[in-house]
Amino acid sequence: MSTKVEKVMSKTITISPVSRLEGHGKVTIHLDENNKVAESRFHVLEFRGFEKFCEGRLMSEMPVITTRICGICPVSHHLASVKACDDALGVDIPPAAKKLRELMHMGQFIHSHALHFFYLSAPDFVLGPAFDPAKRNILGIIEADPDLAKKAIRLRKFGQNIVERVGGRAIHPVTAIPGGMSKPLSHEDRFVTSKELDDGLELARLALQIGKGVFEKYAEIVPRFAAIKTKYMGLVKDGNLELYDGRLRIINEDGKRLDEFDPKNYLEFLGEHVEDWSYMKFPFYKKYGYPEGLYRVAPLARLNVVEAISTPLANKELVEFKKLGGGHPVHETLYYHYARLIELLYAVERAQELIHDDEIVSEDVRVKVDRRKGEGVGVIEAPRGTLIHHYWADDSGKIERANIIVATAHNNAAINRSVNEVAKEFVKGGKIEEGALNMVEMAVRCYDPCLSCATHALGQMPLEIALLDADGKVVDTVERSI
Amino acid sequence: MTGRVSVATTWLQSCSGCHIALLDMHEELLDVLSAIDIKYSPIVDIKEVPKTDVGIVEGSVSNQDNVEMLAKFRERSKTLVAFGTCACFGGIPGLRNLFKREDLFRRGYIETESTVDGRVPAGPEIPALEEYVKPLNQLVQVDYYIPGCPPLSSTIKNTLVALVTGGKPEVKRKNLCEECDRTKKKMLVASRDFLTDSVLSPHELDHIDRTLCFLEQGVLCMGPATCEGCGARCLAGNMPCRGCMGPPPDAIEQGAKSINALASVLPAGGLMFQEDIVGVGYRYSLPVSIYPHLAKERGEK
Repeated sequence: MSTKVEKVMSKTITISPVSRLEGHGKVTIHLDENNKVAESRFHVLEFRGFEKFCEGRLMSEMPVITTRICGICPVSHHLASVKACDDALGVDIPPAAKKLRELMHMGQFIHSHALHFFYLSAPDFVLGPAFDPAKRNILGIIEADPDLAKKAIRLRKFGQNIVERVGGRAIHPVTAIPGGMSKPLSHEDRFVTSKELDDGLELARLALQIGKGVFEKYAEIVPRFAAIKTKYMGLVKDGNLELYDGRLRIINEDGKRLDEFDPKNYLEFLGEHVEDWSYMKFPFYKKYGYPEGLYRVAPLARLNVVEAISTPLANKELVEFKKLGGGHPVHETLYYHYARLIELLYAVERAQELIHDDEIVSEDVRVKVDRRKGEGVGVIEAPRGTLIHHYWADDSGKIERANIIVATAHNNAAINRSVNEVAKEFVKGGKIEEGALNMVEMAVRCYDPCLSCATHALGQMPLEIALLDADGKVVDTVERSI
Repeated sequence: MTGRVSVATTWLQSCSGCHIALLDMHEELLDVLSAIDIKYSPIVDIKEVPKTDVGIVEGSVSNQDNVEMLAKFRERSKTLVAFGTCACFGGIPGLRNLFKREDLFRRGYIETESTVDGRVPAGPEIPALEEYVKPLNQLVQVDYYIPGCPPLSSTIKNTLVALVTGGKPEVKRKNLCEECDRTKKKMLVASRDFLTDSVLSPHELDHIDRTLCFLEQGVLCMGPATCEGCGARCLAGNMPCRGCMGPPPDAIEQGAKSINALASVLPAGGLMFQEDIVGVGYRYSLPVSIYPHLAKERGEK
């Protein structure tokens, strides 16, 4: 096992592929004349073109086409898409349908957050970032702690089971349609889900407990690791954490509210910048322009923008979490993991509330709605942040135009800055220090970027770090090899 | 441990859903892992593709990086498996073959309503886009196919078990109607008339019948033109088939087969004006279709 460092005549470091991410990515680190880190870039390498090839498709088919943007959070796309359809057709869905959709969404949060913590990030924390790369993965955890691995598998399974029972399929669900849901939840499925969630609650608490232990262990590096102060954005409902339907709130670095708006008006507030070196765009807050309008989304951001969580256990954790900021937002990037685990607990609690509500098995789950010309926006909090679908349909129900801003993209500029912070620390004298490779990747992984989503526009990402000199020549590339 | 079959997995242009389906074996994954040794995978930190007994590739080929990765996998795997519908037939991202690259880029990076001062990314760090999305077998030889978007976890398991024990994975040949338990009434009676007067989307029906064939309800269903093997889950979810398993192996192509099957049961005008024949018929298999305009653009006859 060795780390391969290719020496070339100049100054860029490349890490490729960045592993344990959902998609393909690469990092380049650019040096100045004095061999000091000047800038770091996280490159997303694929583009798929959904916004173009959806033109001409039936709008009512969008909820089952756009799921294929991402196999990890297909529920987010399914629901943001169907909400955009409802909006365009001007239909109010029955309360039971809304509850079923939210339940499906909670199922996905359980699966996705458990996946990220146990399968993708825990290897760094439980086994340690310096652990043998050949075994620093979920398989290593299975070997080191089979009991924990089984619990991780079980928790994620409960989430996927909910999606399957409500959505028809665990991956790429189909039941959310304009006007509601295509089928109700059966009493049998309700009963089984309820049982699983009792067990799930214990597992989510265990995950949080493990997480907190880890954050204590790393308490010293947390404040400086990839830390940046930014604005934050997320959905809220009456000041509470909200993942399915609410208003978008933006706060500044000190926690002061900058805006709170109906997400349908997102175009007034949010813009997307394009760089030549990445297929992922860079959303920004329009009032401040780019790059000053940089903000962050996803678990850390959501917990920063809210005042409370509506479920008791998660709210208790939120109070403790907020103390870390001492009246200000919690800016420490590594605490994305902490916030994610609090949300995991919320998702289980919220799913329990929904499943215990008798209306969840109501047969009244849809209203008939006819196609018509219209424009609609659907916004939802995906596991990785705010997701926006916006469609324009003609009178035959076909898509004329589609605009999609995915969750990971909002964090694009922040990921670059976080990587730069880590690079400054670990790149010395024009060389990458031992251990820097995985540190850079750990910075990226905090955001749990989903590059499949990010590049709905063209595709995916592996990680590679390149070190470039002031003239833009490659000095150093780093890859791990056996 | 000796005797374990070495496996490498990767994703090209894809949504990662097939890999999630692999994880969705849940506890059974632990049994499978006792028989296979995963040497390389997106969930593992090793960065160089090793030589293995089995290479499993999710996704279609869309850019130069994909082309290179696929070539490496073919060269270094004794057996190459096309994992999922994108790898087998191109999948939904294959719909981009309907458009020119410039138009795709212009929409994505310039015209989109939220984009400010856009331009098309073209830096040397990012791979150039191929003209067309292609399934694996248009570039390399593929030994086995696991279709599905994503494939059933049980199918993935059975395929891995077959490969580990030296057997051959089962190939499905019938169409999805074989797996669907919805009843057919009118369709079985000879008639001069179409089944319905119009073609509708499910949300336009007064009542979506959970037991009656979708075609008899006037809803386009791809079941007759789609390979079985998915468990007809969408139908159980009270939604019509959209063809994600791809065509049965003996069908020439899915879109033409669907039109052939539907033309005699649903009103042609309705199909033309109320439906999106290209976007439904070819949703998952456009890159392997003989859709004429495309074949012409590709310079084929």
